[in-house]
Amino acid sequence: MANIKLNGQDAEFAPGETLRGFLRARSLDGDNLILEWNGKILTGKDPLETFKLQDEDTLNLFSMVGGG
Amino acid sequence: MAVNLYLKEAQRATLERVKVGVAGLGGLGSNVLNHLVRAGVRRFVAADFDTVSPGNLNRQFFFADQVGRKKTDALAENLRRIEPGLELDFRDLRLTEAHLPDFFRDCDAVVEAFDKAEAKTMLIAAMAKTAIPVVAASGLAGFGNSNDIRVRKAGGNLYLVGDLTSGISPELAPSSPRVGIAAAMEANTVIAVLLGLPV
Repeated sequence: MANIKLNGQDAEFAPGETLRGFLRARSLDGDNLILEWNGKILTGKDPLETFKLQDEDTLNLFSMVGGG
Repeated sequence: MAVNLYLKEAQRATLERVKVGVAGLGGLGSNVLNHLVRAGVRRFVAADFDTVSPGNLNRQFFFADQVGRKKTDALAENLRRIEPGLELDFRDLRLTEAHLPDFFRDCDAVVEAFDKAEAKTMLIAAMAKTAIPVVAASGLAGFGNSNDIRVRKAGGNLYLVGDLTSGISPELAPSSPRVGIAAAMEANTVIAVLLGLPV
């Protein structure tokens, strides 16, 4: 197993796991999620199934909720 | 005469030169613009397709005698009462993916001020393709818990204001104090980014 920093905490993932797979396995794939993956901003509409996690990646998740 | 008499000359020159984009002219957008105009920003491009309704008056920068009017027109009128010399490119338009990021192409910063979560995410995704700083908001409904609302640098060109959890619901309505806090923090973040100050 390898590790990433998920919202500042260590989280394990299987080698070869994609960003989409990682989120789904942890029920984190909400509709209005903003992802910061190694400093890059992504959303669920990006091809997350093509992005493979690497050891020591950083991933921060932000929920967008309604109101304004 | 400039509306903000307390700026340093270099700050005044910067704020009078830049253009700020605002997506949505409701609780966030109308109050963000109030703050930015009073701070000394003069050039804006913004879009909203809605009209002023009685339910808006608990938090939005409109007045009772403006109910029924287009928000673009009513807000332009209110802002020009603060600073008559503003350059306002306000469009009566529902912004979609088809308009972005081109709609804000010549802006120095963009404020996300939509009310729907889907629209917020759409704008962030579209603007992530650019280098234009984006200040967005998520989590501002209800009352209390003021200190839960904060600014996060979210990576890339994105800053996020809010508590990220308190969305609008039947139990959690938008209120002037908390929407106002978030709007002021969005405006303050824009000014800091434009002037190169700590966010």
